[in-house]
Amino acid sequence: MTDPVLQVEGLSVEYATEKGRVHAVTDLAMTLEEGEAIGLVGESGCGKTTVALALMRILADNGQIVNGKVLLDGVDLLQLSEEEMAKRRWSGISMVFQAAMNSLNPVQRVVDQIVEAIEQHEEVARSDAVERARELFDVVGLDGALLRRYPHEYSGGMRQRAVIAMALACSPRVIIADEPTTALDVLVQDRILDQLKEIQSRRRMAMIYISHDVGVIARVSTSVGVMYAGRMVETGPAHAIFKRPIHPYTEALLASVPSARGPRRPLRVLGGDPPDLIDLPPGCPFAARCSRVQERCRTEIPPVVRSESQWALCWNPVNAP
Amino acid sequence: MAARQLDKYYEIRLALLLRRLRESWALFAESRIGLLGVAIIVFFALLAIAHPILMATVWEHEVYHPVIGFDASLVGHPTPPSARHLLGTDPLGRDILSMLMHSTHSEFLLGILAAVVTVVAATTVGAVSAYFGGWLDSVLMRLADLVIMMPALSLYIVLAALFDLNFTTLAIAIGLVSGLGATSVIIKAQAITISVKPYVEAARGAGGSHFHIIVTHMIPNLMPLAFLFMMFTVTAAIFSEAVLSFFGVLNIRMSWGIMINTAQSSGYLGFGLEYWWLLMPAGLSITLLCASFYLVGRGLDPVVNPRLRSR
Amino acid sequence: MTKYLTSRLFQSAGVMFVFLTLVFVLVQSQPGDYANVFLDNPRLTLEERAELRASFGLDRPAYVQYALYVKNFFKGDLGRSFIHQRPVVHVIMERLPRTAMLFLTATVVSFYLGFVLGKIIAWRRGSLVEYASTISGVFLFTIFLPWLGLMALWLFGLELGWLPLGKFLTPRLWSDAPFAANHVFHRLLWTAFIGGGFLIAATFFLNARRLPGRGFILLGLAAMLALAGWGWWLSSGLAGYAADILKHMVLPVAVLTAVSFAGTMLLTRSSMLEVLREDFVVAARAKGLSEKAIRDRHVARNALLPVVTALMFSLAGAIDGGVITESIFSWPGLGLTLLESAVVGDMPLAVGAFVFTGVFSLVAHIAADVLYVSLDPRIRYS
Repeated sequence: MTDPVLQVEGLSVEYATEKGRVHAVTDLAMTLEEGEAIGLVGESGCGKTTVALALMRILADNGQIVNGKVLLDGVDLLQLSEEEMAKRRWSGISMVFQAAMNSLNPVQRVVDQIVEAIEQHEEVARSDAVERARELFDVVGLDGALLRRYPHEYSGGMRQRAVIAMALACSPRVIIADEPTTALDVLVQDRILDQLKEIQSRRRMAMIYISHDVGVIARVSTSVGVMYAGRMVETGPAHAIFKRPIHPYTEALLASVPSARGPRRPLRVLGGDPPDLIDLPPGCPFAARCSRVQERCRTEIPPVVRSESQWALCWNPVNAP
Repeated sequence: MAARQLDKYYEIRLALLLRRLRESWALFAESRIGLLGVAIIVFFALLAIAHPILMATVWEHEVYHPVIGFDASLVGHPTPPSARHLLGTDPLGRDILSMLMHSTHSEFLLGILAAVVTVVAATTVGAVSAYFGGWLDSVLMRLADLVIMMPALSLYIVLAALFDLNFTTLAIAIGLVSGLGATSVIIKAQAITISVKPYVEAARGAGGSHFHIIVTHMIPNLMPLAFLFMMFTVTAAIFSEAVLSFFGVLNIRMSWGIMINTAQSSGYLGFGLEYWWLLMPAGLSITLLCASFYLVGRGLDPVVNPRLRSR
Repeated sequence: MTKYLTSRLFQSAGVMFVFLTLVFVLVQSQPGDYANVFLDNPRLTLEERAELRASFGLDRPAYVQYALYVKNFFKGDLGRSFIHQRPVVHVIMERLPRTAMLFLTATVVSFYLGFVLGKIIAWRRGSLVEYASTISGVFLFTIFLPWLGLMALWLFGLELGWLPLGKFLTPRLWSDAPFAANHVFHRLLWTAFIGGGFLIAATFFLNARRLPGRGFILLGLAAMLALAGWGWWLSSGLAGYAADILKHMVLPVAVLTAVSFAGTMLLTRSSMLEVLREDFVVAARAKGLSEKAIRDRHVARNALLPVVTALMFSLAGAIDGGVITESIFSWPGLGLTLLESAVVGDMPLAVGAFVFTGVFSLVAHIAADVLYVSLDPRIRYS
């Protein structure tokens, strides 16, 4: 088996705010093989986007990676200098942003924005770069004539495709897709998801797909990572997670997805709120809302419970391995 | 504060208003530049108040009168500052400090009158334009375009040539030019957001007349924003009057601009800083008072535009 | 874009018309009339006065006067100056290039300076920088312009003797020149327009093609233009005179720039800070672009838009500032003409100068509008 493309260990990220230090991500571990598509799922505010920004080292000014290792093809990104990191951005790891409209420069033609990325990382003639942009547009199903237009002339779906094409421009090892379809209507969402899946499997790209929508994750991912309050509480192959979740939160998450088939049953809602990330409780972050909570859950961080390639952080797992 | 039993309508409105004012002041007080502006205004207000007191008590009328005074005890006017004349005398033998303090009073009145005219004009145009729309809106906005494009000072110069401008007429002119331009466009934008609010529709459904709706619902909600622009109008008014007086085209007897004009036309400014007391106090006063209202306006910005608040 | 421009031109024509009407109304509502001061000459008999009034058309009813007024405006006839005994248009045309020179230079320098400074201080944040720039900005913004002008005159003209005390040329130097000062002015303006226009066109062309090393090419072009221009001027023997004019321009332009660049600077700074929060800036950083590329191509380019809008609103104020500056430095341009004629009661010239000032302002606004449209593709292609 080849080495994983991306290996994250012990990643912790904090934001400095007026009210205190926000522990956005705590002790996160993740492994990504070539051709694997991991879906990071969790509630809003659980730290998914922060992970993405941290991996690319483009956190906001008040964000700080306090600990961890991010190995991209064996090189620890967190130890690199800013220049070294800039070289790897987009060519090693790239990102498709949420709300594509805002991630495109409104006063620049789309072709220029793609070419800009290519020229930053490779020594190519401009005509070649433009040709590559045209090819990328083909891949995502956009007409090449659209290249010379401005972002505001695109529709929502077109913009999303353009941003995906841009993310592919330097043939990165890893692509992070941060809720790429959340802002779109369901039909367009459908098509884009299919397209993404096709591109990913054809190019055998490693992808991190971030969403709060379990249904979308189920469609796109080969493996799943469940996040809660900044921690990775469960991860494993998609089919294993969906069939036999270990962590109570994962179970609650899956149960809250309404099913179009089967008998009608009341929607299961998880009561309570996620914990305050500034003042995290000492034990398991899910303890306050867990139906299977025990005394030690509140005071001690749970250990890793493993079953083949699926593991979770829990004292009292649902389906004990 | 324990909840009081408020029965009457006006009591409720008054209590709400007072609370709103308290909150606004707390927000305003957070900005240091706003407070600095207020401090400077208070300083000048004290000067204006102190003048009649001084004239009535310590200062002899013949010597210290700002317009017709003359100090015969000294020769070679203008004289530099001394114990008798804290800021010296001008070429006509008048006490500079007295002139300065006296003018403060007229500057304030000019500014306030211009500001009131601006508020009335801008609010009326903005509210009417937003409420009625259609051709009235087009006409008023085209007028605003014209006013924005027109160089105000040049207009005042021509007006001064055509008519005899004194404080009052000048204040009205400045007020109109300030109010009918960009200010009315901004207030109209605000008024539009109000006019589509449900309570306006409800009022109309309940049979309220146009006048009633505009006056009771729209105008009060436009007041904070209009108040903000009042500050900038005062700045513009004081500045414009000072420049016009400096040019000598106005029909007023005494102001800071006139002081500089007197000094320049008597040729004393050609010697640079030798006769500094003829230029500095007046120039500094104009700058400070203009700046103070501008600073207050800037300090009011977060109060009026919630978006701009730091929290 | 052409559709937008044509509609703007029509709008402007409409505004111009309303303006002319407004001026007419103002003049008509004057107590007495137009020729008051001029005709208040006690040596004129009543009949002579009536005759003169008739010759000015002042005995006709208002609407006839209005029709004549508008017709004459489009013919380019704004009346005759009482004092100068020449057509008003001639006097204005003589003075206009000087004002244009002053205004253009001051506007371009202050905008450029303000924008660049604002860009820089936005990029290096720190509360001390913010505080200092806000305070100094506000001070420069509200300082009494005549005061500043007089002090600058005193300091640089009298005390240090570096720069001239006023007017726009040194009479000694020009007394035996075989040509008029305006000739030199026209040449200067042409040089500025052609040179500037060429550089701007070259910038657009190079940007569209995105050739590498643009900066150097432009620098080279600018250097060549400068040399060519200098050579042209030297050969025509006018260089010394042009230099004299430029020397006289330094102080007025400096003073005018000082009070206007601060506003642009502070606005640029806050505009940049707002743009920095946009997602496409994060995306640009994610693409691995250099800090400079992000700052200039992405942030500044977008932050430019509101600043240009603000520039449009400040144009009228800049023209007014020009009037004050011309007065302080005795710069014989349109503004000083307006002021002087207003003071002595030369109404045709005063009103004519005012109308012209309005036209000037209108043209400046249209130019700024075109600039904005060319910068924001969302307006061009919609």
